[in-house]
Amino acid sequence: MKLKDEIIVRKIANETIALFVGDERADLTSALFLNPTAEFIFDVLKKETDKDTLVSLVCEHFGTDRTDTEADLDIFLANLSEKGFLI
Amino acid sequence: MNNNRMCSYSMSEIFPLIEELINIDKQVVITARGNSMRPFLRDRIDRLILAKPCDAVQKGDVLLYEKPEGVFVLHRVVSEDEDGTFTFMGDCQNNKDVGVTADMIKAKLVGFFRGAKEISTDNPRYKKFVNFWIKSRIVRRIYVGIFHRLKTR
Repeated sequence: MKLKDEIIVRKIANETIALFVGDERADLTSALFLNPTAEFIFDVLKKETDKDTLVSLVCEHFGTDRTDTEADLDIFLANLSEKGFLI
Repeated sequence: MNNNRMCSYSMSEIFPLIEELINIDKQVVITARGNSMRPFLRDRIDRLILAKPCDAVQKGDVLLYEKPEGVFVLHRVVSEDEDGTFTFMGDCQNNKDVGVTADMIKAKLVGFFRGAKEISTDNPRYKKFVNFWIKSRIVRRIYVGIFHRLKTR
Protein backbone atom coordinates (compact mmCIF):
# COMPACT_ATOMS: atom_id res chain seq x y z
CA MET A 1 0.00 0.00 0.00
CA LYS A 2 0.98 3.65 -0.44
CA LEU A 3 -0.51 7.10 -0.42
CA LYS A 4 -2.18 8.23 -3.61
CA ASP A 5 -0.11 10.64 -5.66
CA GLU A 6 -2.86 13.23 -5.23
CA ILE A 7 -2.18 13.51 -1.49
CA ILE A 8 0.03 16.39 -0.46
CA VAL A 9 1.42 17.04 3.01
CA ARG A 10 2.12 20.63 3.99
CA LYS A 11 2.86 22.72 7.05
CA ILE A 12 0.41 25.41 8.10
CA ALA A 13 1.76 27.54 10.93
CA ASN A 14 3.12 24.85 13.28
CA GLU A 15 0.81 22.03 12.21
CA THR A 16 1.02 19.47 9.44
CA ILE A 17 -1.92 18.74 7.19
CA ALA A 18 -2.62 16.17 4.49
CA LEU A 19 -4.82 17.18 1.62
CA PHE A 20 -6.37 15.41 -1.33
CA VAL A 21 -5.83 17.44 -4.51
CA GLY A 22 -8.26 16.39 -7.21
CA ASP A 23 -8.04 17.04 -10.95
CA GLU A 24 -9.94 20.28 -10.60
CA ARG A 25 -10.08 21.15 -6.93
CA ALA A 26 -8.54 20.89 -3.47
CA ASP A 27 -10.83 21.13 -0.47
CA LEU A 28 -9.02 22.62 2.51
CA THR A 29 -12.08 22.10 4.67
CA SER A 30 -11.51 18.34 4.48
CA ALA A 31 -7.79 18.44 5.24
CA LEU A 32 -6.47 15.97 7.80
CA PHE A 33 -4.39 17.36 10.65
CA LEU A 34 -1.48 15.08 11.38
CA ASN A 35 0.10 14.52 14.77
CA PRO A 36 3.81 13.50 14.84
CA THR A 37 2.93 9.78 14.63
CA ALA A 38 0.59 10.29 11.68
CA GLU A 39 3.20 12.50 10.03
CA PHE A 40 5.76 9.70 10.35
CA ILE A 41 3.31 7.16 8.90
CA PHE A 42 2.46 9.47 5.99
CA ASP A 43 6.15 9.89 5.32
CA VAL A 44 6.65 6.10 5.19
CA LEU A 45 3.57 5.64 3.01
CA LYS A 46 4.94 7.91 0.30
CA LYS A 47 6.57 4.72 -0.96
CA GLU A 48 4.99 1.29 -1.42
CA THR A 49 5.09 -0.38 1.99
CA ASP A 50 3.47 -3.48 3.50
CA LYS A 51 1.78 -3.40 6.86
CA ASP A 52 4.42 -5.48 8.66
CA THR A 53 7.18 -3.12 7.57
CA LEU A 54 5.12 -0.12 8.62
CA VAL A 55 4.45 -1.63 12.06
CA SER A 56 8.16 -2.38 12.50
CA LEU A 57 9.17 1.15 11.49
CA VAL A 58 6.66 2.76 13.85
CA CYS A 59 7.72 0.49 16.77
CA GLU A 60 11.37 1.23 16.09
CA HIS A 61 10.86 4.98 15.77
CA PHE A 62 8.55 5.49 18.74
CA GLY A 63 9.62 2.56 20.92
CA THR A 64 6.09 1.19 21.14
CA ASP A 65 4.74 -2.31 21.77
CA ARG A 66 4.18 -4.27 18.55
CA THR A 67 0.74 -5.66 19.42
CA ASP A 68 -0.65 -2.27 20.45
CA THR A 69 0.94 -0.56 17.46
CA GLU A 70 -0.55 -3.10 15.08
CA ALA A 71 -4.03 -2.64 16.56
CA ASP A 72 -3.77 1.17 16.38
CA LEU A 73 -2.43 1.04 12.83
CA ASP A 74 -5.32 -1.20 11.74
CA ILE A 75 -7.75 1.52 12.78
CA PHE A 76 -5.66 4.33 11.31
CA LEU A 77 -5.12 2.58 7.97
CA ALA A 78 -8.80 1.62 7.73
CA ASN A 79 -9.63 5.29 8.27
CA LEU A 80 -7.21 6.39 5.55
CA SER A 81 -8.55 3.76 3.19
CA GLU A 82 -12.12 4.88 3.85
CA LYS A 83 -11.14 8.47 2.98
CA GLY A 84 -9.62 7.23 -0.25
CA PHE A 85 -6.07 8.21 0.65
CA LEU A 86 -4.48 4.80 -0.07
CA ILE A 87 -3.84 2.66 -3.12
CA MET B 1 -13.21 16.86 8.18
CA ASN B 2 -12.36 19.68 10.53
CA ASN B 3 -13.69 23.03 9.38
CA ASN B 4 -13.32 24.75 12.72
CA ARG B 5 -9.70 23.78 13.11
CA MET B 6 -8.79 25.20 9.70
CA CYS B 7 -10.75 28.34 10.63
CA SER B 8 -8.40 28.91 13.55
CA TYR B 9 -5.70 29.91 11.08
CA SER B 10 -5.47 33.37 9.60
CA MET B 11 -5.62 33.86 5.86
CA SER B 12 -1.97 34.91 5.88
CA GLU B 13 -1.11 31.50 7.37
CA ILE B 14 -3.08 29.44 4.85
CA PHE B 15 -2.56 31.67 1.82
CA PRO B 16 0.83 30.18 0.80
CA LEU B 17 -0.92 26.82 0.32
CA ILE B 18 -3.85 28.43 -1.53
CA GLU B 19 -1.38 30.24 -3.78
CA GLU B 20 0.56 27.04 -4.47
CA LEU B 21 -2.65 25.29 -5.51
CA ILE B 22 -4.18 28.05 -7.64
CA ASN B 23 -0.86 28.46 -9.41
CA ILE B 24 -1.20 24.88 -10.68
CA ASP B 25 -4.73 25.76 -11.83
CA LYS B 26 -6.60 24.09 -9.00
CA GLN B 27 -9.63 25.60 -7.42
CA VAL B 28 -9.40 25.78 -3.64
CA VAL B 29 -12.28 25.33 -1.20
CA ILE B 30 -12.07 27.15 2.14
CA THR B 31 -14.58 28.12 4.81
CA ALA B 32 -15.92 31.69 4.72
CA ARG B 33 -14.79 33.89 7.58
CA GLY B 34 -16.25 37.17 8.69
CA ASN B 35 -19.61 38.76 8.09
CA SER B 36 -18.62 41.53 5.71
CA MET B 37 -19.96 39.61 2.68
CA ARG B 38 -23.38 38.78 4.08
CA PRO B 39 -26.00 37.98 2.85
CA PHE B 40 -24.08 36.09 0.17
CA LEU B 41 -21.36 34.54 2.30
CA ARG B 42 -21.99 33.55 5.91
CA ASP B 43 -19.24 33.37 8.52
CA ARG B 44 -18.01 29.80 9.13
CA ILE B 45 -21.05 28.36 7.35
CA ASP B 46 -20.57 28.76 3.61
CA ARG B 47 -17.59 27.34 1.78
CA LEU B 48 -15.85 29.41 -0.85
CA ILE B 49 -14.35 28.23 -4.12
CA LEU B 50 -11.32 30.30 -5.05
CA ALA B 51 -9.35 30.24 -8.30
CA LYS B 52 -6.55 32.09 -10.00
CA PRO B 53 -7.82 35.46 -11.23
CA CYS B 54 -7.27 34.99 -14.98
CA ASP B 55 -9.87 37.29 -16.54
CA ALA B 56 -9.92 41.06 -16.47
CA VAL B 57 -11.39 42.43 -13.25
CA GLN B 58 -15.05 43.34 -13.60
CA LYS B 59 -17.46 45.23 -11.41
CA GLY B 60 -19.30 42.69 -9.26
CA ASP B 61 -16.38 40.24 -9.03
CA VAL B 62 -15.53 39.01 -5.55
CA LEU B 63 -11.76 38.99 -5.18
CA LEU B 64 -9.24 38.17 -2.51
CA TYR B 65 -6.66 40.92 -2.19
CA GLU B 66 -3.77 41.58 0.13
CA LYS B 67 -3.41 45.01 1.65
CA PRO B 68 0.08 46.53 1.98
CA GLU B 69 0.05 45.72 5.72
CA GLY B 70 -0.42 42.01 4.90
CA VAL B 71 -4.13 41.74 5.68
CA PHE B 72 -6.19 39.62 3.27
CA VAL B 73 -9.69 40.78 2.34
CA LEU B 74 -12.38 39.12 0.23
CA HIS B 75 -14.72 41.83 -1.03
CA ARG B 76 -16.63 42.83 -4.13
CA VAL B 77 -15.38 45.20 -6.82
CA VAL B 78 -17.71 48.18 -6.95
CA SER B 79 -15.78 50.27 -9.47
CA GLU B 80 -12.69 50.60 -11.59
CA ASP B 81 -11.22 54.03 -11.07
CA GLU B 82 -9.57 56.44 -13.49
CA ASP B 83 -6.08 55.75 -12.11
CA GLY B 84 -6.47 52.03 -12.93
CA THR B 85 -7.04 50.97 -9.33
CA PHE B 86 -10.19 49.31 -8.01
CA THR B 87 -12.64 50.17 -5.28
CA PHE B 88 -13.94 47.30 -3.17
CA MET B 89 -16.71 47.02 -0.63
CA GLY B 90 -18.11 44.19 1.48
CA ASP B 91 -21.73 43.31 0.73
CA CYS B 92 -22.57 43.98 4.36
CA GLN B 93 -20.64 47.21 4.61
CA ASN B 94 -21.09 50.83 3.67
CA ASN B 95 -17.43 51.83 3.71
CA LYS B 96 -15.32 51.45 0.60
CA ASP B 97 -11.75 50.26 0.22
CA VAL B 98 -10.15 52.40 -2.48
CA GLY B 99 -6.85 52.17 -4.33
CA VAL B 100 -6.57 48.41 -4.72
CA THR B 101 -4.07 47.70 -7.48
CA ALA B 102 -4.07 44.68 -9.81
CA ASP B 103 -0.96 43.22 -8.19
CA MET B 104 -2.70 43.16 -4.80
CA ILE B 105 -5.37 40.79 -6.19
CA LYS B 106 -4.55 37.19 -5.31
CA ALA B 107 -7.60 35.05 -6.02
CA LYS B 108 -11.11 35.18 -7.39
CA LEU B 109 -14.32 33.73 -5.97
CA VAL B 110 -15.73 31.43 -8.68
CA GLY B 111 -18.43 29.82 -6.59
CA PHE B 112 -19.53 28.82 -3.13
CA PHE B 113 -21.34 26.06 -1.29
CA ARG B 114 -24.55 26.67 0.59
CA GLY B 115 -24.79 23.40 2.46
CA ALA B 116 -24.27 20.75 -0.21
CA LYS B 117 -25.46 23.03 -3.02
CA GLU B 118 -22.74 24.51 -5.19
CA ILE B 119 -23.49 27.94 -6.65
CA SER B 120 -21.30 29.29 -9.43
CA THR B 121 -20.69 33.02 -9.62
CA ASP B 122 -21.74 32.63 -13.29
CA ASN B 123 -25.19 31.48 -12.17
CA PRO B 124 -27.72 33.90 -13.77
CA ARG B 125 -29.87 34.10 -10.61
CA TYR B 126 -26.82 34.88 -8.50
CA LYS B 127 -25.73 37.55 -10.97
CA LYS B 128 -29.19 39.09 -10.95
CA PHE B 129 -29.21 39.24 -7.16
CA VAL B 130 -25.68 40.71 -7.09
CA ASN B 131 -26.72 43.36 -9.59
CA PHE B 132 -29.73 44.23 -7.47
CA TRP B 133 -27.59 44.33 -4.31
CA ILE B 134 -25.00 46.66 -5.80
CA LYS B 135 -27.62 49.06 -7.14
CA SER B 136 -30.05 48.99 -4.22
CA ARG B 137 -28.27 51.28 -1.82
CA ILE B 138 -31.31 51.82 0.39
CA VAL B 139 -32.08 48.10 0.78
CA ARG B 140 -28.42 47.50 1.43
CA ARG B 141 -28.18 50.22 4.09
CA ILE B 142 -31.27 48.88 5.86
CA TYR B 143 -29.90 45.32 5.79
CA VAL B 144 -26.47 46.41 7.02
CA GLY B 145 -28.03 48.50 9.78
CA ILE B 146 -30.31 45.69 10.97
CA PHE B 147 -27.54 43.10 10.76
CA HIS B 148 -25.07 45.15 12.79
CA ARG B 149 -27.72 46.09 15.34
CA LEU B 150 -28.64 42.41 15.84
CA LYS B 151 -25.00 41.46 16.01
CA THR B 152 -24.23 43.89 18.83
CA ARG B 153 -27.14 42.72 20.97
